[in-house]
Amino acid sequence: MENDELELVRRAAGGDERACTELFERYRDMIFRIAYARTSDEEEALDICQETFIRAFRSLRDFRGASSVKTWLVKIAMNISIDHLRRRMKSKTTELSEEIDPPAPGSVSDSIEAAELQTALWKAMEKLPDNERAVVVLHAIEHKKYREIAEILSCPIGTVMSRLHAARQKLLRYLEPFLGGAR
Amino acid sequence: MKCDIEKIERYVDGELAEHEAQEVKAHLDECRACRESAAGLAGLDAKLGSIQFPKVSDERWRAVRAGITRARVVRRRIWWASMIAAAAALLITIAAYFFFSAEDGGGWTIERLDVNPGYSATLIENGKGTGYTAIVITPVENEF
Repeated sequence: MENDELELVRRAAGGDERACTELFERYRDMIFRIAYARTSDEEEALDICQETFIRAFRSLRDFRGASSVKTWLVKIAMNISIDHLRRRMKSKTTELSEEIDPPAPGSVSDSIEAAELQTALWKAMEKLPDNERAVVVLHAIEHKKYREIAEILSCPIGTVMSRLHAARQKLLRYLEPFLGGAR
Repeated sequence: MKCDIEKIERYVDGELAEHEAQEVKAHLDECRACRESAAGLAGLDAKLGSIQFPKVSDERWRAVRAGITRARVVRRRIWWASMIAAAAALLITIAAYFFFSAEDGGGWTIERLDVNPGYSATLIENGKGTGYTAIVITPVENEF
């Protein structure tokens, strides 16, 4: 772990509000992306983000630096996301097909084709089982190595590889029209 | 090397050791089907990497941050309240110990002294005569 990060954690653990703010601002977007990719819901993703930092700041004193702060936060966010998804499964207030909430395409791209791709990508992600989606998010969006993903998800590397393989096969099928037929 | 899609995936992901990567690379030069698979995987990853997320406004981030700070403050207050309650419980226990262990049955003596103009000191002595258990200084006008 980098020295400045360790120092930041030390200050935050001592109750330094500025250090807490810096940690929050440094990692909030990453945590939001992970939460959003798993829930497809902006409100829920922000709630997960908030809970992640509350839980992290509470246990900063116990953080020993065995992994990076980033990995540690992602692990917390992943666990909280699972809790949210379980609660959602229990309440079953929304139909699966209505859960897809891709960001407004017009705001991110002027091209209709690009907008269609974004919608297709989110729909394809939504179709994946939760454990496969978690691996895809960490691998393709957060660019984590297999070893880090295994650490975050507390599973063997072999499981990471098999989930990623299964997810990719499905995504290649779902997104075939957008991939120019290459498989 | 035989066609091995999982090994090709690890190659695309940069997860193979150097000698294994060389082996896969040599295989891809010869095998069109595997070359297309590798290109498909790389294309998929590129598309996934381009996925767009909603833009969260600064105002919403401020609200999230405020929620985190509130939780920290509440937790700190709960911690202090617990500490004060624990300290109070300890003092009561000590006072009770002195009171009940006094030989004369716990008869405390209370003595009032005028220490300064406008103030008085109440000295509470334990029954054993080993010293004062408490000294309370109060403004005279507040006494009833």
